Amino acid sequence: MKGFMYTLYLKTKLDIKSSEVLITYYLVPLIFFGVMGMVFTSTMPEAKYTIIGSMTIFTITMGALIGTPGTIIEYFTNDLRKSFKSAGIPLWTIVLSSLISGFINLIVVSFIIYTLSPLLFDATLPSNLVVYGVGFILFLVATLLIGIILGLTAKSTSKLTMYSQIVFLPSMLLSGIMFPSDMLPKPLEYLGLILPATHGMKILSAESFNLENILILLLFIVIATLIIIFRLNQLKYEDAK
Amino acid sequence: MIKVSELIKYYGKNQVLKKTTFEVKENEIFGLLGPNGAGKTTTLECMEGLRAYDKGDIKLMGNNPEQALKKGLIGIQLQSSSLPSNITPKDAMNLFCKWNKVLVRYDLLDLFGLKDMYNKQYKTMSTGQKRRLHLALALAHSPKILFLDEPTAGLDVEAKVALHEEITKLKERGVTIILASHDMAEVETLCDRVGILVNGIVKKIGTPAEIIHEVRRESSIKMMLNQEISEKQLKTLKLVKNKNGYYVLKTENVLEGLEELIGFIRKNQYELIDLSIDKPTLEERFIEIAKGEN
Repeated sequence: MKGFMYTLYLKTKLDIKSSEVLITYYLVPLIFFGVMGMVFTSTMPEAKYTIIGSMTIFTITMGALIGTPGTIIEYFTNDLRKSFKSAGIPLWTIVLSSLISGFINLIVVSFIIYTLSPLLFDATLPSNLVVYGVGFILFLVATLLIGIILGLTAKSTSKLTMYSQIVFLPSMLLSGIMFPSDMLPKPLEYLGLILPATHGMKILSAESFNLENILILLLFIVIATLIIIFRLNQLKYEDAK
Repeated sequence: MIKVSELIKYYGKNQVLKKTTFEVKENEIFGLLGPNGAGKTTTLECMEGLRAYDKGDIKLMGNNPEQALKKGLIGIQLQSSSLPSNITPKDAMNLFCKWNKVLVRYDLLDLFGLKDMYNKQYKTMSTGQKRRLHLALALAHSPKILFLDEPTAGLDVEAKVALHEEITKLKERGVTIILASHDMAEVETLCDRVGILVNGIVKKIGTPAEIIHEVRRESSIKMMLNQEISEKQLKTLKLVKNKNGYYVLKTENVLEGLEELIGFIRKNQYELIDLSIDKPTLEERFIEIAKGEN
């Protein structure tokens, strides 16, 4: 337990010190929030009802899909995996530490958006904080797990950038955070349904529990967890081969 | 202490280890020598519990490699190791000690010359500093057995000498060391016994002296004097003058040859300008064995 707690402390500390984390978890999302918040609320006054949700979805998607995989890929290079194994450090502890570290950082930045939005853009706070909180946490965990899968799967940083963009860009365009998803052509609207951001957006902008979207996010979490377990076992097998 | 018996390992269809067999005694430094691709790293990784093997048996103080790794009996310095780029030696030592449930060993960082680098980021450290850090980490839990895979590769002469001193001290502290290396001089200096691995088979095991003794050539004593030696004296001493002006004596007994030559120089009151001894080396025998000459 001491070993895991120190790994968690160290991973969080190294993440905070990392310029990549600063950029992808904090700087870009907050700059985007500032600029887009102004654009959205001045061009579409009704955006004040959804600005907290949509900016939170953007922040989490950016951090979890671009930032988290970047903090993980380095730990899963052959040499580092072997070094950790030789010291008796299990690989799952890196995954779990990354999940918790990402969770903490993205909660902090989401909280900043939540508190600043009413002050800067006269945004309306969610009417049901419980619905908002549950949806937020489920969406955050699901997206972080997808980010971890990307970090565990990509063999190089250049491939990781490509894989991340494959999930990130559709999440931006098809989930409804830039414009309502029902304005999209039907095939694209359906395509958006395979992205957690679409369901996250629906939950965060709803006033009551949207069970269907919650179940879908739970399904994302279960499937992503299984994929991560499979990938870790696969790496373990590859190392010993 | 350590027993490797008939180890077989395939990479796909390629058989890398072919019944590799050897033993390592307690508190010795055992060198595993071999050309590139001979299977040194694979053998070590199988012994370290980092790689599965297809057949055979490995016992480390009565344990299989996985058990030995879990029990903290072994310390490992890998040929190519790495750490997160922004971790510091202090954090790395903490991490390794916490996982091994031992008190933090900053003294090891001091011992390996990293005293002023506690808070330096891993990515900014030199190759030598990184190697010394990995060695310190490998020793953090005071293992009984230490595996070193090419420990001085990429190090400058000064760092190499310092590391050799540390390895010798570890042996004095009772650690059994298995060292894989390309560097013949390193193996000759450090190891009590050597195993020569060729194409996955241990072809020869012995002390460096025993292995060198098998080289089928005489030693040469080369000297330069301030005066010419007469033809008669050359014949009597069995000396040959080479084109560089050196007198060369080929002998199987270096000590006797030296005594004879020094006696001759003193008797004739010559001045000795230069003297060197060319003895058979471990490298020569290694090359013979690697080429398949018994």
